[in-house]
Amino acid sequence: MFINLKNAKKYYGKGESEVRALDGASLELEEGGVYVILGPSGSGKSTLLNMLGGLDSLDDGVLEIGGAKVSGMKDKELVEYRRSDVGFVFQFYNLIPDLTVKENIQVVSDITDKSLSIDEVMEAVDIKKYENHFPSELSGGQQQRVSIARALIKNPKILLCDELTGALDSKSARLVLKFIEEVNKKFHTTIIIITHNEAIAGMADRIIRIKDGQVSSNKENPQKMKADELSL
Amino acid sequence: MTLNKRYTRNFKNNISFYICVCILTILVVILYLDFDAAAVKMNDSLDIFRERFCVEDAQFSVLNEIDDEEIKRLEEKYDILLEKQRYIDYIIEDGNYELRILSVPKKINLYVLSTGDVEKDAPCISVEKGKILLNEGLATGNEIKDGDIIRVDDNEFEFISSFERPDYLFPIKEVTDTYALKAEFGVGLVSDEDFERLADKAKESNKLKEYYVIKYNSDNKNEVRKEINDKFHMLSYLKADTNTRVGTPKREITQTSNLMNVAIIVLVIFISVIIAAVIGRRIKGDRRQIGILIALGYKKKALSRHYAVYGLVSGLAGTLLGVILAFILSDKLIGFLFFKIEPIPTGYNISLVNVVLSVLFPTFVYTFSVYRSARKVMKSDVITMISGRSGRKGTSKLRMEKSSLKASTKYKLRQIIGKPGRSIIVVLGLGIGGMLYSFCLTAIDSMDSYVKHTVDQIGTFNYEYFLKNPELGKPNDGNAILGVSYEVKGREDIMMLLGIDSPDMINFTDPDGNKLDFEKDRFYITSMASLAFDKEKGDTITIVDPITLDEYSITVTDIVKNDSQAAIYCFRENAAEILGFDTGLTGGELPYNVIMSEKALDIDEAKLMKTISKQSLADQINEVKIGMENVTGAIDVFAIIICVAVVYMMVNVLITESTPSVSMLKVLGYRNKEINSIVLNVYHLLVPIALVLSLLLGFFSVKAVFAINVSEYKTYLETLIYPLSILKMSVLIIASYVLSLFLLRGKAGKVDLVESLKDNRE
Ligand SMILES: Nc1ncnc2c1ncn2[C@@H]1O[C@H](COP(=O)(O)OP(=O)(O)O)[C@@H](O)[C@H]1O
Ligand SMILES: [Mg+2]
Repeated sequence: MFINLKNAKKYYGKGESEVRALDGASLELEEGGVYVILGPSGSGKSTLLNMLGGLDSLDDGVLEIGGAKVSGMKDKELVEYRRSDVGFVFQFYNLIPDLTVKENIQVVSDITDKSLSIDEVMEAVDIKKYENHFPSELSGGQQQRVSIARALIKNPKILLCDELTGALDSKSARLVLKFIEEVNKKFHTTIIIITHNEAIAGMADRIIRIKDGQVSSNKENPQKMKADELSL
Repeated sequence: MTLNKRYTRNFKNNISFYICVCILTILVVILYLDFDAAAVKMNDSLDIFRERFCVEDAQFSVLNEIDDEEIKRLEEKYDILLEKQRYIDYIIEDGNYELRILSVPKKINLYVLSTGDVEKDAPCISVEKGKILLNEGLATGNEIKDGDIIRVDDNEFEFISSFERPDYLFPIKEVTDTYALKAEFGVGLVSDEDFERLADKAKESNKLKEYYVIKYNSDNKNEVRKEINDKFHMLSYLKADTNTRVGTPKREITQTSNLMNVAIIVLVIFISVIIAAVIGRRIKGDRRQIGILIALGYKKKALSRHYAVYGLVSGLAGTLLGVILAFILSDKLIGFLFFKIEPIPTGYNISLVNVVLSVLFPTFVYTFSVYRSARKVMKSDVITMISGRSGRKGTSKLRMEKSSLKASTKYKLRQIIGKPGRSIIVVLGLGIGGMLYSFCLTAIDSMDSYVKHTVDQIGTFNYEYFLKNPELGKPNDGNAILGVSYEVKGREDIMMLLGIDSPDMINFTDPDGNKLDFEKDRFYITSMASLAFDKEKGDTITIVDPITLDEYSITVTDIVKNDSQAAIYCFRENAAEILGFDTGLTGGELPYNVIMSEKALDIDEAKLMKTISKQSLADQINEVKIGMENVTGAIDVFAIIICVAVVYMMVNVLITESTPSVSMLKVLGYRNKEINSIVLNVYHLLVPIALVLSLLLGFFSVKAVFAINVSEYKTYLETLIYPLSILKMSVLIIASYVLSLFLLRGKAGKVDLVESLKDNRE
């Protein structure tokens, strides 16, 4: 298995106020698929994603990705793991405000040796014409495409998307998802999308459900659809 | 209010920032209380000392002694105080210093014990038999302790206490000296009986010196001077203002307190405003929280008050600590400030008004600034505040499309240019800190250069021998000069009129280095005099004979390069003419009273009034330089603290304000080192600018100070700074800069990467 998570635990706080964000979650996923993780708010989706992306470390349990044991990595090793293998897309884009579109992407290509062509990636997500704009001059959908371009420029093994359409209207959302779909095909990137929007699950190879910090189901999607066909 | 729980948490989380604020505030308070307020207080104390202890208005010597009866008559006639004062100079073999035993005055120049207080104690007019008092500089300089025995010739005296007199606060041996070598020369007082015994013996060897001091009460100085000259034939007359020994403390303290009043107040206001701006800035980072609290129904007023407490607490903490330290350090720092003169015995207590002021001012400025910026944040509507979007408009939209610079370089440029307020504070902070240092370095270098070069530029002579009585014709060795001191009309200073036969031992060139012709009936003034009296070629100077009060006006023909002496050169005949010397009586022979020589001459001690060696001019400036070097030690510390603290504070603010970007860079897999190299290094570009600024500020302040001090140093110092000092400056500024970045290196690493992602919605 490409992703192998066993009995993952992550607790926040202590005593009365303890929150069990992940409470024994286990998950196995193969390389190259599109996976959608569904679950109510507060069920631990983001926490799970952060663990997969090496943004935080588990209190207990084992996480292996591509044969590497991510759980137990020190902060320094996590940085290297994020740097080489992981791309992130967040609900609120998180672009660097003082850098232009092109520079936001450059920032990542600067630190990788397997960078794709910046121009090509910008063309692909259709933001080339805004390359010299600052994030604050773009719409939400445009910003999100920049953020995807930024995540992809280093050709990561996994692309982690946290509520990536959460702040977008349905038209922009579809455009973004279409692009994600293409990336998966073209680069064979493993894509994990977190959402509480059931409709998005339509484009997944497998649909994973989370409840109370545990994976409650992990099923193949019998009717996989194209992003175009989703009823967002 | 639950909100108050935020205080401790917030202070704790930003402890290093608030420590910085505290340190700078402490510095502000110390500078104010120990430098500015102290200098002003010293000025007052000196005035009181001079007034209560009746400092002389002038001193003079006469050919015919004025007896007690005459003194009494003159005092009554003119409503003056007149007193004969006497002294004997001794070399103290045991201690390797020179001691001038003064008669204990009863009316003028009264003394106070060093342990006393000039504002409260009654002036002293007697000393116990067998005991001796020494001025404090001499006693401390030679580690003389109470009970020590001082051997003066064959007499033994027990040292019981230090003392100060208002006319010897600047204890120089000759009034022409520039610097008091306190360990090598000092004054002492013994009982009247003991003094008479010493005087009787000294008379035999001509060592007893006498002069008269006078204190006027009405505006009849000229009448008094005239009568005394007519009746007793005045030989010299020296106004206290033009007397370096009496005038220097007043000038020194007034100038220092004026300088401090401007410089320190500017510095204090500047630092307070920087701190206020920075604390205020941090509130903007709380925009979201403020928005949420308002949405929850908190009143804007209550919130503004909540935030104002941050300013209040930082202000109070810093100023109160500052006051305590100022009290502890006051003696040391004031000593530094007035290292050239004797300490004025006064219980220097920092006045309550100043303490209150130094607490209230910064505290108010901080509190107000925080309050104001909280109000400003609250002006935007709640929704934008919560979204965290407001206030971002300020970022620079410098596109730099064509530029091939790296993205991180563009980022830095935009940080600098897009937030000019932040950048200006960095430049000014480094600049002002550096200026303190460059001021000292420039002053020291200028003095050093003077000591090494300028003195030699005066000419080839090395000695000037001043004779007690003029002689006629020419000396066997050396050049004859007729040299007389004149008062300059309308000025406090005196100037020498030097009648010479030829300028062969003088470097007779104009300030540009062109050789000048020396002609009869022409008057040439030195560049130093030109500067001191603000006279140029073609201007007229009126000089006043200090004894007869006769006035002469001369027209300046040319200016001779000489930055060390204020003097007028002319033909010896012209000088004799001005003096009213009748050559008809001497068969055309001209008088001289100074011999200028390249080599040391063997002149009869009895004929000699004093000797000035060119080296001694350099030595005295050298002493000022050494004193300055000592002060520099203290100033360095202030400079470094200001530089480090300001940079630390500003980079701290920079990181806080770039938290979302820092956190994103982390998510993207940037290593801490790489993040530091982007975020911490933003201000690199500003360092050279600050360096140049501080060099210029320092250089021009020194130039201004030298120009004001022409009369005090008796020389005009050319302002310059050596390349080595520029290097030292650069090292100091860069080192403080690097040090503060080093202290902050962990700061970016501490930015939480998950947390800030949630908050940010750019
Ligand atoms: N850094 C944190 N500190 C404390 N509690 C947290 C933290 N991160 C997440 N949680 C808590 O863990 C639970 C799961 O959060 P999250 O993974 O963000 O849920 P989801 O993304 O599914 O909405 C929530 O109750 C949340 O409040
Ligand atoms: Mg979430």
